[in-house]
Amino acid sequence: MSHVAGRPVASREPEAEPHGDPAAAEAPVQVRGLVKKFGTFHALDGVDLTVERGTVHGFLGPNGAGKSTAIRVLLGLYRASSGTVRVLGMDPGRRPSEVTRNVSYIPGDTALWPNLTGRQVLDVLAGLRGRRDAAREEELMERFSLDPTKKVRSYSTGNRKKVMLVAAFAAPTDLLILDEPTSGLDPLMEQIFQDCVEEASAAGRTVLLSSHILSEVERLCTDVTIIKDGVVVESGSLARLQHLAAVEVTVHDDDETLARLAADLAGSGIDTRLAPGESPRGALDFPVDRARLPVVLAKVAVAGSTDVRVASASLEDLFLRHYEVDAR
Amino acid sequence: MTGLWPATRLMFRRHRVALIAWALSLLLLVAITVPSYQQTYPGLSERAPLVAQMQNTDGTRLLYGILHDPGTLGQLFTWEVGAYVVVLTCVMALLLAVSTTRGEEDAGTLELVRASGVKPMAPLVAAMILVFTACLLVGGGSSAVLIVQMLWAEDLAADELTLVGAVGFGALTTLAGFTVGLVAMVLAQLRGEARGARSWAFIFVGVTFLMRVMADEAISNSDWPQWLKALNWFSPFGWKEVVSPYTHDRTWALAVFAGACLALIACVAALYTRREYSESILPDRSTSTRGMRVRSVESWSWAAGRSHVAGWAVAVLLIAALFGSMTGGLVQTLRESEPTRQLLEQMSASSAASGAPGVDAGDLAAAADTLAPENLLAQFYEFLGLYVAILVAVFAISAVLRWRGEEKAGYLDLELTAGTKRWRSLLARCTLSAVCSVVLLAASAALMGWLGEMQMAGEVGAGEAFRQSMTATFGQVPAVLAGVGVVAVLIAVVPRWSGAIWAVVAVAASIQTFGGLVNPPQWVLDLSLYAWAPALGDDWPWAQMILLTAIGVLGVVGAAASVGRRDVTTG
Repeated sequence: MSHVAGRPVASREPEAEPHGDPAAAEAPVQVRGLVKKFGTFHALDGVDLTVERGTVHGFLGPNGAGKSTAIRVLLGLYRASSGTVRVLGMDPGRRPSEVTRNVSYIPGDTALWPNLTGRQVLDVLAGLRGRRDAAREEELMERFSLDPTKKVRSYSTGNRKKVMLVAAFAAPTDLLILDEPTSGLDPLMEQIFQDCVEEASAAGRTVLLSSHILSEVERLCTDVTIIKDGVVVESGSLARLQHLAAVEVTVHDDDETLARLAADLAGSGIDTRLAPGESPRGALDFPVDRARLPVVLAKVAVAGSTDVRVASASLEDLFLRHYEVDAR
Repeated sequence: MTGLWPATRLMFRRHRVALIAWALSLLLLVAITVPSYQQTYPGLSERAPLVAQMQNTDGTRLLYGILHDPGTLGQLFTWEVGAYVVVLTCVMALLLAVSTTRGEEDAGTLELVRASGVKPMAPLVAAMILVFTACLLVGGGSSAVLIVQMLWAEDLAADELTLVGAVGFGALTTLAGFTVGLVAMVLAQLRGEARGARSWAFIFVGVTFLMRVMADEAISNSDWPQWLKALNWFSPFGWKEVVSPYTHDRTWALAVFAGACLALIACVAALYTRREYSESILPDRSTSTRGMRVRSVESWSWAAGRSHVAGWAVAVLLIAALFGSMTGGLVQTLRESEPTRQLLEQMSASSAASGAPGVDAGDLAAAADTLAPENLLAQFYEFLGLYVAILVAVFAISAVLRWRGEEKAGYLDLELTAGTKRWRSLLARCTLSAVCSVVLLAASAALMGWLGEMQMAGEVGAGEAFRQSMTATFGQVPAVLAGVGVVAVLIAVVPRWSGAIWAVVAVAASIQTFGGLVNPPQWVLDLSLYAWAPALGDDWPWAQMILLTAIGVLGVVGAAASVGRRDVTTG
């Protein structure tokens, strides 16, 4: 996984003016070498992130990887220690309010004013932004079946999320930054959320989606960036990443043949996840780099096995590799 | 009871900082008092003029209660610092009681405890144990400190401190605090959220304090209805007068107070078992179809802060009305003052001649001088103005600190990510705080002045009371503004330490209120924010007033300019 961001970097372009229509020229989110230090701890250590216009960009990583920290920098809530950050053509560290006026944000921890009702929260957020699409709000409340007359205090976690989802999708903004927006939502609402993201994307809005729900990311996102320990470990189009990733090989045969095959593969440095002396029990099932696939298939042919299946790795496989390393 | 021990340990673990901070600072206050009195006024005879003066000042009776003759060290302690200790112990118990019961339910942490196989009653009993321990630390600690001071004191002073007085004071403080804590727990069962329970509990404190004031007035003035004296029995703040440590030592009354505590414990337990987890006894109105009109961050600040402002405005104006209505008592003092004044003049002359140590001749001369009608009135208003100003300063600072509270809770994230400018958001809170404080100071000054005018008609010139009230109270505007400026800078630059502003206020307020009896050096007095209201007869301290105003304005401007440079942090 030595590759970095898949796209050519437009960093040499002259900086767009915040006036006029800056967003037309450059990607809505451009981050280069972002470092965020808390004391001596490097929460982010040279992160690059480019979110292209109109795309849905998955932002993944294990817990504590720095996703929320990066998002807070994008919103101007945290100051970058070093690196360049441009959101909608502006530096959020210098002009946070101009940036966030055009950004819909759903925080990971949904802390809403407990003594306001759902409708009052929507009123406040729209009032502060100074722009509102009330008809769209009504429609979204209907779709998410949100009762806006209740006080936030008496809402469940899911209902609080819904308030923020309505506010985020209804606001007339260009960029949506969603930090685990569906945690606490039921599957039906999850479905409506995915529809909303697709509509937003179709309307030309850009979405940065941080999520742990891989099926959601697989369905919605065209690009993903995976970070771990404050460093980007994978970034690019989802299709390309899946192509580059390991493939899963499954061979069915009698145990004797499989044991021989496993020993043969181990001799070539390919780990079949079969411990020495262990019985294969009818199948060998292991991941292998796409580049080494011909070697594996040649050995399978030599062994005379005919029941072979080769599958592209799912996002989950791609992902778990990084997560497992992290767990150590 | 299953789980009581772990629940109690958890409770102490979660609230130990608050508990230790409260107990230590109150015990420190107790510990420094008697030695300070002793140093300043070593003998009973030197103290006589002061005691006479204090007994005749309505403002001090209002706040502390009755100072009994002859004014021994124990009596002086009980009267002045004792009053603070009782009130602050009750406030401590109130805050701890709500945050260990309804507060834990609001936060959802009690749900974990209740789901861990403990008896439903265990967390409540644990909360009671914690509140009682806190009160006992202060009360019992005070007794211990006073007993040690009695044992170490010289023969002469030892007579002024007694074992039964020390024990009586400690016990009544413990029981008064625990009672208020239990009442707060009752209210926490009735109301569905910690904030509501706390505000009702503070109303209870206010009402019972008022009952004590009326009872003490009835004791001191025979023309008040005498049945009012009984109110002291029903107010935890009146129990000090009921027991009268170091004077009457009616320790048997403590059994009655303990009985009240037992009844309240039963009441809390009964209400607790009659409601579901996180529900309240009183219906909680939690739905509304009303919208909210917000056009800018300024109008949002007002919408979010107006109930806080309204609560404080009611409290401050009520206290101002109460203070103002006491002005009439001055008339009586004026008529009775002639002999005292002569005595004071004699003493100041003799001590000036003999150069007696420990007695400042200037002090006594000044004391005699204060008994002129205008001066007495000015002194009265200076005193009241100071208290109103400290209250308003606490309001002003808490109004600004709410911004930091919203930041920690994560609410500010929502505000700032909706296109709001950070400097405007902070500036809006500071402006709201400053404007409301100035209006509150002006309104309470006018209210006290107007009430004074009505009662002092004929004693002093027309308009004199109003003018003096305005000068003394409204003259504290620069000090209040300076507090706003300082807290704004702390929030903008060192947000983690913004709570330290309370230490500044506490020190400044203590210097002003205890300074008179403890006699610290002048430079210490000068450090107090609240020392610079214009006083009658003196030149106005223009330089200091301008400096304080400048600290306020520049602080707020500087804070707004620099708050954008830091991270917005939650948790």
